[in-house]
Amino acid sequence: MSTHSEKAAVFIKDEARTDWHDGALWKVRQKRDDSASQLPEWELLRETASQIKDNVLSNLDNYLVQFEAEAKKNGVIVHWAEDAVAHNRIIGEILKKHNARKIVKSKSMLTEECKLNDFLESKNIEIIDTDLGERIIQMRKEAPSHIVLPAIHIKKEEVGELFHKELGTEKGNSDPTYLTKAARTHLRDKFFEADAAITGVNFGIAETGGVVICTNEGNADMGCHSAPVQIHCMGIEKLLPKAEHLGVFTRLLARSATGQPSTIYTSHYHRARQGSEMHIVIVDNGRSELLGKEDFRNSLKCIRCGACMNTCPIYRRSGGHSYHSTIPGPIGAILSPNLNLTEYSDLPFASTLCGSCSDVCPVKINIHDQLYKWRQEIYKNNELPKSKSIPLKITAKVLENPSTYNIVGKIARSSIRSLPRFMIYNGLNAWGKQRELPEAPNESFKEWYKMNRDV
Amino acid sequence: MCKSAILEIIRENKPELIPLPDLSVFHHNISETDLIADFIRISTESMSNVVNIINSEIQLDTYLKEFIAKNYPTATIFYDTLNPKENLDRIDFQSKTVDLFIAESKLGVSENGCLWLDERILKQRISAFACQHTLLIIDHKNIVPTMHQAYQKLKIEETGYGVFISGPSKTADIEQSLVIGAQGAISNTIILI
Amino acid sequence: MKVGLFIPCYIDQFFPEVGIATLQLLEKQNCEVFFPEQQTCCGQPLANTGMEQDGKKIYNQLAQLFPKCDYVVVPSPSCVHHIREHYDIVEQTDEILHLRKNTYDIVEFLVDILKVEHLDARFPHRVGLHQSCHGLRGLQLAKPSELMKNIPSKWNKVLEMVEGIELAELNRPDECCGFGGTFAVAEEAISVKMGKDRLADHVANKVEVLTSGDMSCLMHLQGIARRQKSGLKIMHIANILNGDKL
Repeated sequence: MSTHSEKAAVFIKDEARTDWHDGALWKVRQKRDDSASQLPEWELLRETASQIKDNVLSNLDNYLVQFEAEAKKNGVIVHWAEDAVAHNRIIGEILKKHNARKIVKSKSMLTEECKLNDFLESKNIEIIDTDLGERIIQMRKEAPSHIVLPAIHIKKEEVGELFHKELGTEKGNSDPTYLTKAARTHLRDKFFEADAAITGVNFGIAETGGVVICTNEGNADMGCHSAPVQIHCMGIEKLLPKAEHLGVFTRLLARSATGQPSTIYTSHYHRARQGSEMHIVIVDNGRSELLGKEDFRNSLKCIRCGACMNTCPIYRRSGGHSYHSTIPGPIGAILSPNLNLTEYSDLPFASTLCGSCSDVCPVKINIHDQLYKWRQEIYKNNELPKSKSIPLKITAKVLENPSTYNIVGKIARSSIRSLPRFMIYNGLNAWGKQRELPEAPNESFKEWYKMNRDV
Repeated sequence: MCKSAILEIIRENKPELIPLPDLSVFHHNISETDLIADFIRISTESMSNVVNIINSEIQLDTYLKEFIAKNYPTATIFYDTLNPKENLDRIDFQSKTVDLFIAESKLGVSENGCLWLDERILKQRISAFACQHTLLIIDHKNIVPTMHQAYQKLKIEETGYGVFISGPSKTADIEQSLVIGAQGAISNTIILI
Repeated sequence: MKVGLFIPCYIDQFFPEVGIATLQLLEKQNCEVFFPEQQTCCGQPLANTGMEQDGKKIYNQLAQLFPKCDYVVVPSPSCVHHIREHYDIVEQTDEILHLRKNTYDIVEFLVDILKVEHLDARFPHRVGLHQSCHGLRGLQLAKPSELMKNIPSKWNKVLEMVEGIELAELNRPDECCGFGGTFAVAEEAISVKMGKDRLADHVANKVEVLTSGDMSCLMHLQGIARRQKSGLKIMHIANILNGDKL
């Protein structure tokens, strides 16, 4: 399977497109900056949110028990899924019980993680992703490339072509308003015909047993308020202790994600509509295991805002698909190795450790520290490619011995000075593909010091 | 059952208890003038049309009648929670195009233009979403500075469903071009009284 | 005050002028400079690739060289950051603790310890500052654009003491250059693209001389600029502060 580095090299071949992708995401990062700078208490909000999540993780079992009890009091049916297979099976059973064959789903990275769509489609159940960006990538049979802006990698002309093929829109018409109107009409019927609506959960409130869902389109609500069955899928870590904590998180989420002061809709679901059913599926899928890893536990505080992706100079220039994991970008690079260290061992290295991600994270996850720590785990578990470990083991030996170091340095410098260009710049020299090596001075600093200061 | 297995692992793996932070650090002293000015500005930025009749002498009912006739001249089917002409539960959103949703919110938030509507006002939960246009009234005295104060005032579990609405539905999913009117209302007007 | 000088491996071998400028800057401030010649490297290349366990010997060897110095000064924020943050994996001997507590980047040292208010330097050129990530976010030498905190820039403070200098404003004042250690080779395509974009920003803003506190960033940017045959000059901040000519 190709690594991030291989996929990124392919992505970046189209430099103009890379610049376009990079520019689009940088704009979102700038909007976030504008929005955050307007709140003098911004850094205090981040610190508070971080502490709230620290409390949640340290008391998670009790909050989950409380959450379930409150939800049940409201007539909500609560399920527990230890992994993706269980999650899919539970949803399958709910749908079967209701003879549900047409499903609408609003954005849920958790259901992506569990590959719910594939599972339901294998049972001939129609599942339509109703978030416009998700619908676009669903039609293209692709995975989302960003957790908040799933179609950020697609140009409007490409959407125009897609809708012409799938929805019969005018050929060559790529006006976003026209295309969005077409999607509105197409999805409208889907909502009213749906047998069930599936959503994700932004925040679950332990104190009240309710779930909070934030959207700009209103698609989660259109689905839940039409269908006779609504199912909310929630990772165990998504809880907040009390309703008052929403005051902190609703102020941070949209500003971090897109720079908006709030999403258009912030919906609070506590009880089913009269005559319909409300389910919540609480999902583990590796999260309780991650909770036990002191170095990586903080990644569970994530509220899936995507700010880390928008700021990451590597993500912007390589695209979400280069990470070949459900959640891409910096947060994906610290979450995915927990699921499968071998498969995702390349991701913690898809970074220069610049630290910008940690600075924009609304819950202060120390992302760049965790990237560094995952690198140590990867080497410890023999997942580091020999092409890296062997040269560096040799380097270590050289650096441990000052005389060897001096000799090796001198040879390196004289080689660069004297060898013909083709011997230095060739396929074996990755540095030299698009860069010159540094010019080699005649004397090192040590040699100069000996001559000029050691008297 | 997997519930107990999950809880067992959590109990083993969770770190030592870390206390909750103090939320009283967030307090906002803001003048009524600034509060209203911010609310109007931010609601406008979120693409709502805002009409300020705070100091108006006109009766709200009268004003609304004229306003609707003038601004929604082609509207025929209304979901009017203030003066329902028929049983709101009977209105069928699937078979009809309902032009205008009208309601008064009892809680607004200045920092983001959010207005709270719960199912006691909505009656049909889908009403605020499935109408073509929304017209929301808010008394300026019911506007608080931030979400902190809003959640202090609310009891979110009081009703089965409640929503903060801060503008017409929108999306920027097609090459980051903002389009107003995604799945929900295609326009939102706020009348500030 | 006895100041130990640590010149990182690649500066020692390829950019001795940076080491010389650092030494001269300290001497001009009347520091008694001690340069132990057995030094090699801080071990960062290993650690950043996941092999920090293999770097422990190097860490201890470095710490053994400076116990008698009041401070250790390095013309490299990334090395300083590594020593401060990541030397926690070896036994915290007196030498290790001493090194971690008293190692400073040259700019940090000038501003925070020597509290320099005046530099004898003239550099009448339009300069673009590359705010290296380890210096910026690791050592808080300035305010990152994404952080809503007031952090005065130590780089700007010393550069503004240089006569005739003109500091350019960039479109993206603190985006990473793409070096990242072994990243520069393992993710070569992205690394170079990031470097090209940085250079383009400086060129677009009519920068004559690109400077930074981190020679590793500059080595990478210079490599690209020379391949592009760009006219952009690249110089370490220590050389500018030392009054060296372009």
